[in-house]
Amino acid sequence: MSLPVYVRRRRTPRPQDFIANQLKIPVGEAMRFLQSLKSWEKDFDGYYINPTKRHVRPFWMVPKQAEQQALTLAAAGAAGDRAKLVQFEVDTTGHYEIESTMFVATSSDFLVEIFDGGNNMKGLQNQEIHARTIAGTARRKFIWPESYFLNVQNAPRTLLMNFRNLSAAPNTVRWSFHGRRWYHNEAPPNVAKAIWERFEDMEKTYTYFLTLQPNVPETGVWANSPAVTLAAGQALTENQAPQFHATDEADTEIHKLTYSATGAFEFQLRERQSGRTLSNGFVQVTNGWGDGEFPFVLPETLLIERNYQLLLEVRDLSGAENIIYPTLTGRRLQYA
Amino acid sequence: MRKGAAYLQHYAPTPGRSFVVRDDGKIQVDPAKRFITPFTLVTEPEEILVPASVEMCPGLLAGGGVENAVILPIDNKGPFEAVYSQFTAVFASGPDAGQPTDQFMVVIFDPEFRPVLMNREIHVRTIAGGFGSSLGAGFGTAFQSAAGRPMVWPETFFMEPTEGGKALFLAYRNLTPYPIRVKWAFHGIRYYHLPDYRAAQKEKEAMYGKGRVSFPYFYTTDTDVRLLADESFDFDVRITDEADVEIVKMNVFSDEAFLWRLMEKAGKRFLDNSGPGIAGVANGIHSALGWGDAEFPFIPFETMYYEQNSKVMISLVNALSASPNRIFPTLCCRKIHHA
Repeated sequence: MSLPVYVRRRRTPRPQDFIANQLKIPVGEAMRFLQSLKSWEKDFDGYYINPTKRHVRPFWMVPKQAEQQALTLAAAGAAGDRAKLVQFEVDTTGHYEIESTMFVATSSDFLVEIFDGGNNMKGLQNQEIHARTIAGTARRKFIWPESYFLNVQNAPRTLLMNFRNLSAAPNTVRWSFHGRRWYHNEAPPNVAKAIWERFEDMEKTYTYFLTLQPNVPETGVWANSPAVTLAAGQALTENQAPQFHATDEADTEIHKLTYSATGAFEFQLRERQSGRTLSNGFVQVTNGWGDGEFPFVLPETLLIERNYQLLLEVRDLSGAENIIYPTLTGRRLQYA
Repeated sequence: MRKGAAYLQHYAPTPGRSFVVRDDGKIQVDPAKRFITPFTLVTEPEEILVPASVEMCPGLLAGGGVENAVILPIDNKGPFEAVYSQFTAVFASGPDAGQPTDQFMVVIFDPEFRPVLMNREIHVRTIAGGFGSSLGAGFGTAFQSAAGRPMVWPETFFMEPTEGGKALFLAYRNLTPYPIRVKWAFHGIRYYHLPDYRAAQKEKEAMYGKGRVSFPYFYTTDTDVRLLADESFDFDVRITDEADVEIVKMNVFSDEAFLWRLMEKAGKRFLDNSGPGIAGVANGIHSALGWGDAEFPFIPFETMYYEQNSKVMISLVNALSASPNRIFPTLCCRKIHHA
C-alpha cells in the first residue's frame, strides 16, 4: 500500500501523557484508562446489519436523453464526428458517488472530456482523454482512484461529457458511470445525518485525468493533439519530450498509467524541475502502461505538485508513424 | 487509500498463519497449520459424460441430462469449506470433438434432491471459471482460461461429513446436440483438526450476529429465457421469509448483447437513470455495462442487501439484436438465515 501523502504530527506523541495532562491525573492512571479502552475496542457482541446499508444501492448513470444513450458519431473528420455537452443527470432522491466508468462502442477509438456542471464546469481532465485509457466494461470496469461525489441535497446534479470520434467509420458509443446512491431523503434522521457528515469531507477530493500538454508545437508532433505522434523510429527526449503539466489549483497524486497507441514504443518519465527519472533507462511500454480494463497500478503513487511538469520521453519501436495517447489517472485534493 | 467502506465486505476464510510468535518472542511453525490444507473436491468419477440434447424445435431442447446424480464425496477425515468453482468441458464426439465447450447447465443439490445453493439450474459460465473470456469493450483480447481465474463464491460453503455433509450432488444438462465430457472441481479448505473448523465457523457466524447462518446462493430466472428481436421478459427475484439476501456479483451468459434494468418492487425504484426509450420503447443498460461472467464477474460498487419478503424485478430486452437471444442471468448472492 502506498504511503499517505499527507501526515499529521502529534503535539504529544504518547497518548498517556496527553490524557494525564488533559484530565490532570497521574500518568499511571492514564495508562490504566488506555488499557481498559483497548479492551473495550475488542469487545464485540457480533456483527449486525449496518442501518445505512438499507439506504444505499448500486447505480448506473447513463445520458439523460434516451437518444444519446447509444450515441452515434460520424467518421472522424466528417460533420457530426463529435457530440458536445451530453448530459448525465442524477435526481434529488439520493446523492451519487461515482466509482467507475464503462463503455461499449463500435470502435474504442474516441476521445472524451468530463465536466461537472454543478461545480462551475470543473473539468476532470486537462485535455481530451482517450476513452480506452479511462473506461472498461462490466467484466473489468475502470475503477477511479477516488470516488467522485455528486451532492443532490438542493437540486439535481449534471455531469457533462464531450465525445470525439477518431475512427474512420461511424461509431456508436454507450457510456455509463457506475457507483452508488445514498438515499438520504428516505433514511431516518440519524442515518441521513451520518450520510451528510460523511459527504462533507468527500467533496474536497476528486479523480483527475492528466494527459499530455502541447509544449513544442514547432516539432509537428501535435498533429493528433492531445496525442503525441512519432515518425518511424523517432525519439523525443529531454526538452523535446512532451509533458504532463499539473495546473496550479491542486496537487495530483497519480495512481494508474494507461495508454492507447497505434504501435509499440518505449518510454522514460522524467521530472522536469529536478531532472530525476523514474527508471534507470527506457522501458517497453507494455511493461509500464496498461489500458482501461487492465491499468498499470503504480506500486507507489506519484505526487505531482502544483505547476510541476513530468516529461514523457518516448522512442518509437513500431517502425511506422505512431500516435500515442497516454493518461495518468490520479486524485486531487481541492484547496477550499 | 479509497474513501468509504471496504470495497467488498464479505467474509473470506482466514488464511492459516505459517508462523506464530511464542511467549518468549521466538517464532515457530503454527501447529494448526499442519491440520489446515488447501483441498480440491472433484466428482467421482472425475470425468462425466453428458449425453447430447435433441432440439425439438428452434429454441426448445429435450434430453441432455445426466442419468444419475454426479457425486462429490467427502471422506470422514475432516470438514471441507468450498471457496472456488471451476470446470473444463470438451465435445466427446461430433465435428468439434476434443474442442472446449461451455454449453451446459448445472445444478447443485443435497441428498434429498433439493437444489441447495440455487433456485434452479444455472448456466455454467455464470457459476464456474474455466472457459476463458472475451473482455468485451472492443479493445480487450479474448483470454484463454487458467486456474488463476476461478469463480470466487460470494460466500464460502461448509460441509461437515460427520453432520450429514458427506457429499454434494451435481446434475448437468447438455445444451448441444453432441455429447460432452465434463470435469468439475470445488477448491477450498480442509480442516483435519475439528477445533480449527469450529473456530472458522464461529468467525463466520460473528459476521452476522448470533444465531445466523450464511451461505452462497445463486438466483436465476424461473424458466429458460429465449427472446426474439425486441421481445422483453421480466422476472422477479423473491426474497422469501426465511432469509435476507445480499447480491454480491452479477453474471450472465447470452448469445447476443441485450438491454436490462433492475427495479426494487417496493417503491418501484430503478437502479439506473435510463428511463423510457425513444417513442416509449423498452429501454435499459447495455448488458456489457452491468453483467460479467464467472471469470470476470461484475461486482457492483455497493452490494444489494434485501431483507426478507422483498422483491427485485429484472427486465431483459432483446433490443440490440435481430436474432433470437438466449439469456442466462445469475445473481451471485449471500443468503443469511435466522437459524
